Parts: sequence; structure tokens; C-alpha cells
Amino acid sequence: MDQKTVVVGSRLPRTDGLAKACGTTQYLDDLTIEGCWVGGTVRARVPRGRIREIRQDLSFDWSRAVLVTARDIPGLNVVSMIRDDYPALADPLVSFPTQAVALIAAPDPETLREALAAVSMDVEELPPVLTVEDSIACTQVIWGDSNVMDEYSVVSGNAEGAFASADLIVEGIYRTKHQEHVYLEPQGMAAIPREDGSLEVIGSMQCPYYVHSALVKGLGFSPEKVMVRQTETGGGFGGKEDYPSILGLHAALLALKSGRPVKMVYDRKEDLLCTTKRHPSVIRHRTGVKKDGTLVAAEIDIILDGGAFTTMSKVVLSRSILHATGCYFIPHVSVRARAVATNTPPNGAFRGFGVPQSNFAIERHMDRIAEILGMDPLDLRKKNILKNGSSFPYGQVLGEGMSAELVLDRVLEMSGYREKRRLFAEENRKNPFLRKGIGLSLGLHGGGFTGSGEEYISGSSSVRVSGGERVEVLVSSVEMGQGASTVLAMIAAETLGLDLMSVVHHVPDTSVVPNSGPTVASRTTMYVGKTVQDACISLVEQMAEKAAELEEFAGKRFSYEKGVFAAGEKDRIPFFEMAKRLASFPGILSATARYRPIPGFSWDESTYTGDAYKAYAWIANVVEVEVDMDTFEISPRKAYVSAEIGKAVSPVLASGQIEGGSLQAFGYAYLEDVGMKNGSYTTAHLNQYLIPTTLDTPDFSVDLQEVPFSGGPYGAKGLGELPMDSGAPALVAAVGHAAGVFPEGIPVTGEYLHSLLRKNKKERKAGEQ
Amino acid sequence: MKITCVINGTFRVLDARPLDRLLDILRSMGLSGAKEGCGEGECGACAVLLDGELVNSCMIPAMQVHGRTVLTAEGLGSPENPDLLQRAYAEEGAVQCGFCIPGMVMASRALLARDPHPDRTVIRTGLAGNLCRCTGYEKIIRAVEKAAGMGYGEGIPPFAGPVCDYPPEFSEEERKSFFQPSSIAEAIEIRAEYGDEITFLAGTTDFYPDLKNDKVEVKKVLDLSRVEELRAITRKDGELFVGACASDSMIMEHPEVLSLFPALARAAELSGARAVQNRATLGGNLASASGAADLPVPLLVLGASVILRSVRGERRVPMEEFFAGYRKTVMKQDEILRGVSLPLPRGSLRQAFFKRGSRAALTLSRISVACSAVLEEGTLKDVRIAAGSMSAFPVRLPETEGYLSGKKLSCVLANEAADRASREINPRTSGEFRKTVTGNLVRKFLLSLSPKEELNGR
Repeated sequence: MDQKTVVVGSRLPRTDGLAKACGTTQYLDDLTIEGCWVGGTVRARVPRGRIREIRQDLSFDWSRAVLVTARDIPGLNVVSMIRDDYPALADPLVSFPTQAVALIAAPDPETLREALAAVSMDVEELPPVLTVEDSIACTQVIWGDSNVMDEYSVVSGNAEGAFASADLIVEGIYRTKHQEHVYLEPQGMAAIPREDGSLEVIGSMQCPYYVHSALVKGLGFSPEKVMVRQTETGGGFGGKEDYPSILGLHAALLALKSGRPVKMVYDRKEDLLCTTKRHPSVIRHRTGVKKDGTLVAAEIDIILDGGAFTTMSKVVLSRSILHATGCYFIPHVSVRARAVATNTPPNGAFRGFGVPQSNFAIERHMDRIAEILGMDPLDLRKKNILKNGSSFPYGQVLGEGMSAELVLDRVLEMSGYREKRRLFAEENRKNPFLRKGIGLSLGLHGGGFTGSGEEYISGSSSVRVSGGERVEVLVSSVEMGQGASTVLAMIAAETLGLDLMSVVHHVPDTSVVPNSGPTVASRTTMYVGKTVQDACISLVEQMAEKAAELEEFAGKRFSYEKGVFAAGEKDRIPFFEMAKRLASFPGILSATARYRPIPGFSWDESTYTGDAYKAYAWIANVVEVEVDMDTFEISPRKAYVSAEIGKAVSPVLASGQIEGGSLQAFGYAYLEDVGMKNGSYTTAHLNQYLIPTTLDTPDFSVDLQEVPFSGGPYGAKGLGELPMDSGAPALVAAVGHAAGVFPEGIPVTGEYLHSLLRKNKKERKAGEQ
Repeated sequence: MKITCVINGTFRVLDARPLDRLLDILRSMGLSGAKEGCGEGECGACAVLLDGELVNSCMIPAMQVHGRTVLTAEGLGSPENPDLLQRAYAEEGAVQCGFCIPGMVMASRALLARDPHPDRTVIRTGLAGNLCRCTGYEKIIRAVEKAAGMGYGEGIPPFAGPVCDYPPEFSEEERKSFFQPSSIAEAIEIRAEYGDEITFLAGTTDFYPDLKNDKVEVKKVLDLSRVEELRAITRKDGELFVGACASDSMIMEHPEVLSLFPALARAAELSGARAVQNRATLGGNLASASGAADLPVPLLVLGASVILRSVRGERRVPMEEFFAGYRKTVMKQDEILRGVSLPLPRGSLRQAFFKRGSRAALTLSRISVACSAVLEEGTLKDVRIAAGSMSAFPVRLPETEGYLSGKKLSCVLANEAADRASREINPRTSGEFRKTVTGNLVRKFLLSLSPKEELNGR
């Protein structure tokens, strides 16, 4: 594994950086599409109801626009995702306020506005379910027969019995709210009908083949009649995993009915009000602990608010439950997890995918246990931390690559945590108005799909020589800012011994690239990268074999190293030169590799036991904050992060992922606050839903640790979601340390912090009396 | 209308509608580096330089682009021939999805033009109006540091002056509805003629969000941006006069505002990020009569008067009497806001402005407090306190002021004043939180007036 690499591990700049810095990169809304109309959406406006009638105001000249309702859907009225419960257009039931009821296309935005204003609805309102509490209580049945969309349990040992051996039992309930992605480029898709009756759908997306499946089902088209092509994507974070299937289908329906290209680009308001968010959660922990801090038993109950339809809830929930005990070993565990329906917009994929919620709960709970035991949170963590050979509650045991302790030790060294924890407490006594705090958290993230997911999708990647001097990487994995186009090209360049400039990532287009799976789950570098590497090896083997058949090299055996085919001392043929000589055998100049199951892992979906993930990445965070006790303002000042991610293919991009993901987690912890009223989001502008600016951002120190994973390309593991999983509890712990409070939920807004301090004051007064 | 301007070094005469956004003009020309991330000045993805100053192009009307110089990311360099700053962005890993980057690069250039060797705080402040969701900003800051280290800021030429000296050419139809006078005299004539049909344009930082959200109906437009006399900040006859079209940037950087009225300078500094501050005007902040407006709060404690001008003459309205209700002022339908007058303070006047937003930058006030007082031999005099964002418009706290005036300053007094200030205000929402913070800020001001040791001694 310790092979020397040239491109992999280097600090080469990303391949798309300059074009982006110069403003020449074209995103969907920058493209001119000949004869294109614009599309818009008519929405329900009530949380639950039954549509009696959709009315068209005849004072508007309807020959100027095209209206699509559920009746116009040629295929099934569903947006196909993991479960077909989400109608493309409400008919007749309405299940959340921003649900699409009808679609309109018009030649220009002004006409579209007029047309949208000329549609009204007669809806019989039904009593909605707006909270998870009401959903579980079944005040109304709005989904299935119990409102529970999915339920899992994980059991190891005998938790009930083990509680008896504990010295004390610590309980806590932790809550997290919605989080909005705020990719800077809003959602946008366009559909372009072609003369041969096929349809091209382009746009900002993470999963071209997901959109493809949704179109096939919704339009009733055969697969080859639909082409999906990704356009440059200005951020996704999971928000463009599920939603482009909806928007793509909407644009397609309008394009088919109008017979013209139709583009739908949400403005920020529509994007904030209508697209998916991170699932809110309520997580209850009950833990049996020995006096010395040893965890002996745990009961955990996880509830996620799924919103009105499943989207990704089933798999989000799965990740929540599998990460419920975080980086700690607990011998007896019983976890129950449910995703329940409410009449609110469906919640969907968001970087971390259920882990930020469960990791927040376990990390906060560790802090609570430490507080009750009078231990430093660090010592409690050290005592129970997972090590090589420890088992997870679902039975997985890894003999190597359990790096929680490695990253914890590194972050302690970098941050001076122990010393500062003491020092800040001292300083705060001298300056009670501006207090400092420091907090710690750990996190882990299983890379790739859960269980047998990678075997199930069995993704493949291709490489091909094109134009005589380039190698193209053909995958459905998209570049959305995270650096896939650079990292996959680096893996190919390294494997082929070429320089990075000779390799390009082909635009993901379902009519050209194989299905390497969706761009999700921290799987692109680790799994797709591996198949790219395998495809490159296969390409070289094919070329070497065929070269021996060429007259000039008859019978020679070529080896390949550092970009050169060699047969003895004399015949040294560079890669592209050889490609030229083999040009008459075009089949030779491309190769495909499919995912090969990694031996030694097994997963039982029916019992939810086994090897949930083949490798985990690990992270430890220390955050320093200042809390202004006059205004209850929180200012993150320093963030120290150590992450173990296997081989860092591009250390620059890897640290960029960690910084960006951490900041997203910090925003989640104290700033980002989706308002809700009667089932609708109320935060409609970026001056209401606030994400961190430069001035809300700490200075970062990032440390990468590399424990190679034998199944990944050059030892790489998944990384993208890891920092989002784990930053929030460290920040909240730091706020608690500074202000002397214990927040149980996020975001820790000024109001919340103020209410905690008031409660403290009241309790102190009551204690004095 | 026809407008003459220079875009990325090329002289152009463009056909446009007067309220077309500069963003759309650029994009329709194929300059799609400027992006629409929000259309409301909240993200900075559309940022460009206008006459060398950072602006959000989603909030610039075509009629204000005439005679001016526009620079976009495409004007700095190309992928084949990038400029030093763009190269630093690519090399430092400051680019991820790239959507915010053209705007971010322009904000970086603007800050380096002002300060070629900034520290991290200056860089952060200069970029605070440009949201990035990918990078965590760390590498962006490093890219700016790298470009600064290579002398990028020193190589930026100063603004060369207007492109032309003639006014823009409106069509006959437009001339009936769009007015762009160059003097106050002309402006008040137009105002007198059309009264409440008039929508004023100046910095347009509220206008475009309102337009987008259907909060404004445009009939006649009176654009004050070419009235040079409205932009002046001058000291005369024991007063400092700040013109209605003075921008937040001008106010927060003006030496006399800084030395005489630091609370006002601070309010301007906290009012938004650079691209907004370069545009938002004092007059707009007052006339919009928003409960969350920042500038009226210090003006209330600094004894300012609002100067209103009409064809009937000029009148002065004390700041306290200027607001008439939610989103209402006492301005008559033939008046324009000429500016505010601030009496020069006594040398020993202490003043402060505090703002509690929901994040550190580019945020609406949730609570704002301005205080001023004179401390003579430990005794408080002329105490004035104002609070914003609590009610329909900013208000003074006369009971707390009265309680404090003439008293010896002490920790006990400061705590009591905090309690009284909390009780005196009546916030519409988040009551307990806002009351506590307001009280705390009054106490903070009082405690800042004397060294800690002295106060503890009392």
C-alpha cells in the first residue's frame, strides 16, 4: 500500500479552478437554449386537503402559455425514488403546502407571472399533522396505516439486564431542527424535446441516473428515449440528490406538452420554501454508566421527521441508527429508529445523511454523562473510545482502521485542549461579560452505501483514449464543487503514469457514461475511484496485449510503467504514441471496470447485522468560541480538526472539504434556523435563513491522517460528509463551557441561550431559598 | 433608453429599460460570470465593480450605469491568461463549486484596492457580503493573502473618472415616467408635480428586493443619484450636515463623522457588507422608516434634525418627530429629504452604538442601542438612550435617561439602569430576550465610561 505516487497525494491545483475564477464556467442558467420557454409551478398552499377543482382564469389568454396538471402525465404520477409515494403533481390529495399541483410554461418570465396568477384552486382542507408527536400519536393517519414510514432496530447484548449492573443511569433528550443546503446555485433543470421523439434533460444535479429513472417512470418512455446530462453544478450537499428528479420531471412534462425546450430555474425564495431540508430529529438516550465512566448499557430512541413523502428517509434513518453510538463501545445496546410522516415539505438528503443528528445526540450525551460524573468530557471519551477489535452494536468488528483515538490524540496536541479548558474557566471569572469556551467532539462516517448497497448498485466506470492525446474518465459521478472531476482524473493519471493535464472527466451524460452510481454517500473517491483505477489497469493490459499483435512488435511482451510501454531496452513507447499505433483497433482504446465486492464483509439486511460499511473515516474537532454575555452572541474563533480519511488523493481538496463541511456544521449548531408555520417554511430569504459569513467563521487548523484502506484507490476512504457529522456538538460544548449552560438542542440561538441562562439563574435562586 | 458606459475596458452604447438590472444587462451580453444567487443583495454572487467600487449588480438600475465603468471577473483575465488574483484562487484551492467565486474575486479586488496589505480581519470584513457554502472561507482568505503578498493591490489603477459628461438618453415614453435630475432645484419641481406617484431611487438596496417581492408599484421614478449636492458631508455653523445620498461607506469613513460622531460611523459600519454600504444611503435608511433601520438610532441620541426641502422651502424636523408610524414619516408629498444636521457635540460627549443581529455581518438588527452622555467628575449629564428594532420605529428611552441624569456613575447605578431600560421597552416579539439585551447594552455603555477599578470603588 505504501507505493510511491506522483499525482495522487500531490498539491496540483484542481482542473476546473481557473475557469471558475475567471467567470467563464457555464451553469444551467448561463446557457442559451434556442426557443426555450420558462416554467413555473402552482402550489397547494394548504398543508393537507383534497383538490376539488383547478380553475383557469379566462381573462388570461391561455394560447400564450401551457398548463400541465396531473391529467397530462403520460406515465405514472410518481417521482420515482426509493419508494413510489411522491406524486409528481398533487391529485387529488394535497400533503404539504408547497406541493406542486400544476405547472405552467410561457415564453418569458413576465407572461409566466401573469399565467401563474391566473390559476386558482378549490381545495377542501383536511386537518393536518404538523409535529412528530402528533404523527406518532396518529391524531390523523396521513401515511400508510400508522404514519411510520420506516422503522429499524439494532440490538446487541442485553441492555435491559445490563442496566442493573450500572452505578447510575443518565437520560437525555436531544433535538435538531431542519437545515437548508444553500447551495449557491439554486435548483434548475431544462428539458429539450428532440425531433426523433426523444427527450434531453439537463441541469444541476448529483445523480443523472436517478433523474433518468424518474423520467422513464413518469413519462412512460423507454430508457433509451431519455438522455440526462449534468450541467456545471454550483453546490449540492445532498440537496441535488433527490430534488432534480422532481424538477426534471416537471420541466419534461412542460416540454412534452408545449413541444419546446422548457427551463425551470428556481429563484432563491422558491428554492428556500420548496426544496428538501435535513430531517429534524428527536433522539432520546438512556445510558447505564459505572462510577469510573465505563458505559455498560444504552437505550436509544431516534425519531426523524420525514415530511409528507419518503424521498430518502428510509436510508437516512438507516444511517442514523447505524451511527447512533458514535465512536464509543457500549456492550449492551438497544436502538429503535423511526421516520414518521408530517404534512410538511418532504425532508431529503443532506450531507451527513442522518449522522449529524445521531452524532449530535451521542456527543451531547457524553458531555452530559461527564458533567454528572464530574469527569472531563475528554476522559470519559477516552475511556469508552472504539479501538481496533471493538464491536459496533450491529456486530461489525474491524481489526484495522478504527482511528478514533488517533484523531483524538492529534487534535488534543494541536489545540492544547486540556490546558485551555482550565485557562478559559479562569479567565472567565475575571471577565464575566465576554467569555471563552472550548469544546470537543468526535465523529465517524461509514463510506459508501450501507450494507450490501455497493454490491446492489454494482457501479461501473470507463476510461477511453480520445483525440490521440487525452484520456477521458467516463462516470456518472458529477463534479459539484467537491472536486470529483479532479480527484478521479488524478487517480486515472496516477494509474496510467500520465500527467494530470492529459486526463479529463467527461460530462456525466446518461447516453455516454456508464452508471457508476449516484454522487452521494462519500462514495465517489473510495468506490468510483477504485473502478476508475481498475479500468485504467485494464486499458493498459488490453493495449499491451494488442501491441504484441502489431507487425512492428510481433511477439514482444510489453510491460508498462510511468506512462511508457516497454519491451526490452529498445522498444519504449509512450502511452499516447502506442494509442496512435493502435488506432485501427478502436475497441482496444477504452475499458470498463465494474465494482468488485471486497472479500471479508457481509451484511444481513433482514436482521440488520453485520458489516455495515467496509471502511470508516474518523474525525475529532476542538472548537473555541467567545460568548458575549451582554448580547448572547456566539463567535467561533478557532477550529482544530484532525481527520483520518485513508489516503488523501488531493490533500488540498480534502482539507477544503473539511473546512467547508465543518463550517456548515457550525452554522447548523447556532445560526441556521428554518422557521415553520402551519406546515410551511417561513424563512424565504437569505436575510432570514442565515448561513455563516466570513465574519462568523473561525480560523481553521486541519490535520489529515492517512491509514490506507486496502479496498480504496491508493488507500482512499470516503470523506465528504464526515466534517458535517461532527462539528456541531463541539461548538455547542464550547458554548456550554463558556456560558455555564447545557444546550440540548440546536440551533443555539440568542433566545435559546438567554432562556438557558435565565433557567440557571432561577434554579440558583431557588437553591438559595 | 440609451446608456453609455465602459464594460471590461470596452466603450459601449447600450439599449436598455431604465430599471433593467445591471446583472441582466451583463448576462445578456454573455458576461455570465456574475450570477444570481438571491436577487436581493444577500449573497454577493453578482458582485462587480462600478467605478471601482464593489456593488451587487442585481440591485443596480440601468439608468444609473450611464457614464460609468463596469468591471467583471471576465474583465480581469481568462482561463488562458488569468490575472494574479484569479491564479491565487485556483492555486490555493479557494475554488470549489465556483458559483460564488466571480463575485468573491471582485470583492477581493475591491478590498485589495483599498488596502493592498490587509490583515485577516480586514479580509474577512471585505468579503463578508459574499456567501460561500463550499469552502469554509479559509482557503479564500489565504488566496487573498497570497495575492496581497505578490503586490496585487498596489497594481490596481485608481478610478479614472466618468466615461462621459452628458446625461443618458431616455425615449420619449420614458421621459414621462423617469426623472434623473442633477440638482435639488430640479428634483423638488418634479416631486411637487407628481407627489405620491413618485418612487425615489438612490442606492436601490431596498428598491430591488421590494420590487422582487411585489412590495412596490412603480409609477414615476425620481432618481436622485446624479444630484451631487445630496452626497455632501460638510461642517458649517456649529453643525455637521450629512447629505441624504451619502452612502454608508462615505459616512463610516468620513474623518469628521469618525471623530465627532463615532456612534453614527459605527452604525454605518455595521449596517451591511461592503457592496451594500457602497450603495445604501442615509436618506433611504431614514425614509424607508423601517423599525430595524440602523442609522436613525444614533441620530436620535445625537440630537439630529432631518432637513426636508420642497418648492415651498425648507424645514427642519427633529429626529424624534420624523417617524409617524410603521413605515411612515412626516415627509409631505412634495418634499424630498435633503439630509440631516447634527449639532457639534461638546468635547466630552461619550457615545456608542451597539447592534445585535443574528450573525456577525450582513444582518438585520434584532436589537440596536445607541447611547450618549457626558461624564463630569463622576456625574452623568445629558444622558440619551435610543433603541431600535423593538417597535414600529426607533425610540428614545426618556424614563431611563431621566433616572440617570445627574446621578453618580457606579456599578449599582448601571445595573439599575439596565433593569429600567429593559422595562421601558416593549418589543413585539422575543420580548424577554430583547429586553435583557437592551438593558445589558445600556449597562455596557455606562460601565465603559469609567475605568473598572473606579466603578468598583463606588
